[in-house]
Amino acid sequence: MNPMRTFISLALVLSLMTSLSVQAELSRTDKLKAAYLFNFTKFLQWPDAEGRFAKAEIALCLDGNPEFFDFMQELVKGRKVGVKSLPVKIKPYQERVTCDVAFLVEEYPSLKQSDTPVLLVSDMSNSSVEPSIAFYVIDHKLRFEIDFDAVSDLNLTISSELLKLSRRKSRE
Amino acid sequence: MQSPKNNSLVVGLAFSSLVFTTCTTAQTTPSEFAELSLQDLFQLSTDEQTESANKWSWTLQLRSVEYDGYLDGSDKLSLDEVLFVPGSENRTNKNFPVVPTVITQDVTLFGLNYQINQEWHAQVRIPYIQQATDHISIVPGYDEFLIKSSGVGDIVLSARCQFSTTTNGQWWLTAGLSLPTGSIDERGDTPRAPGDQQLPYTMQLGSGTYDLPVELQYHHLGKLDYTIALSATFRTGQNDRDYRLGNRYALHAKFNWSVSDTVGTFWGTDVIYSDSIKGRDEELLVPQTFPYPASITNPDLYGGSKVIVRAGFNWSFVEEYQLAFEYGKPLYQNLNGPQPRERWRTGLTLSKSL
Repeated sequence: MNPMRTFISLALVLSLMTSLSVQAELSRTDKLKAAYLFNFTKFLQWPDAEGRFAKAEIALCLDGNPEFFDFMQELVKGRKVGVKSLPVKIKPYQERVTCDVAFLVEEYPSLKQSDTPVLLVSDMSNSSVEPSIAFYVIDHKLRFEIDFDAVSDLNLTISSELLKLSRRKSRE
Repeated sequence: MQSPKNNSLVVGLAFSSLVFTTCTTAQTTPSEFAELSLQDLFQLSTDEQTESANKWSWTLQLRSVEYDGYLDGSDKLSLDEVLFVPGSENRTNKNFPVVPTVITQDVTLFGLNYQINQEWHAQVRIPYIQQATDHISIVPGYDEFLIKSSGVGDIVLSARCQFSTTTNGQWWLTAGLSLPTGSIDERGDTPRAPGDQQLPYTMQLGSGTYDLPVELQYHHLGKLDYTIALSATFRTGQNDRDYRLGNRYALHAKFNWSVSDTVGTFWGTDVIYSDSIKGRDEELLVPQTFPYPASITNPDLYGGSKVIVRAGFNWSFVEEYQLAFEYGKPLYQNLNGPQPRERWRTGLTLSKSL
């Protein structure tokens, strides 16, 4: 068998095979957001109706990208957070699904913070959401801003550790 | 006292351990991201190039090398000097009744690479070897004859890691394991006896031993783009035919120059030293005063040093595809001879990231 003919034949076969198997991948920024979201659940506490901290799990709801959903599910798998060692459950953001935290990337024409009791997290660039926590990027680093008043309205307890790393949103 | 083969194993394993303990890891999997604290997250960049995780790529390479003529040390020998002709000269350790004239080796190498994260890469390389040797001899009926062998060679598994990065450069360590998958039992029709016989070392497809290839590389980036690497292949033990190929040590230097965004050229030099073969394959001998019928059947007539200069280009002709070609020629050879003299080598490489 001619070596050059072997080389060309293999090159054609490999090129054809691999061009059919390209997969989409989650961006690094999205992966960092996922890690932040998981960290947020460690530093927040939700009161129940009687004012006690008594939850069986923390429901983190997501919309949009199914790859982000899968990544987040893998990330929280088998992990527990907070002093009560609560599991974090990843759920789709939709009607009749109870959420403690919702990370929203899609545009919602009528959604406001007051419409829902969940802690809304979004990107600063998503103008349709008034989030309690908003991600932004500065100098190639992912940072977050907390609307302290919005969080207070939800009766959430935020750890000082989370607050000191955040930028505080000022309401005009 | 430790034997040389044990020393090779110890050095190789020590180097491999160094690779795995020196390298750090970056986050790629969901689990690794889950381990990050808020303080960790504050330090990490959003740049995609800082996480080129889970990237597969393959390379297909056609390497060819040709040997023609003979050297003893750095002195050239003619075929007449190497060929023993009864009646006109005495038989010595330096002349032989059978003389290989032109040896060609073509290796089609398929490599599959997995970039685990920014620092770690894993690779498997599978070679398919085709080689042919022209001979002349004084044996009636074998005045001129050609012997060929082909098949899968030794498969190499390796891990590569970037263990240090500075503003202008990167340090890489590579350690691997070469598996004895290539045949050392290739047979062909030689003048030694009627029918097929065991072929000499050059015509075999593998080493028959577990070998440890290692490399330390520095890649300088910036205005002056160059790479300097020290590499070695340590052979371990002895194969089923009671020999071990020589260890190989090399220093590589390569300068790169970009012609455009898609085309680059390079030139470089390699200084290579290899040991002779230890032990011998008894089946290659003839029962005479001078037991080696050809130079390539004598294990002592292997190894030596070479300086090779090479130049080439690479071309990113389509997104994710790169084609590279290089041509190398020995500038200096000092061989344990008489030994076939290398004339040239080429490499044609197609690579694609997935």
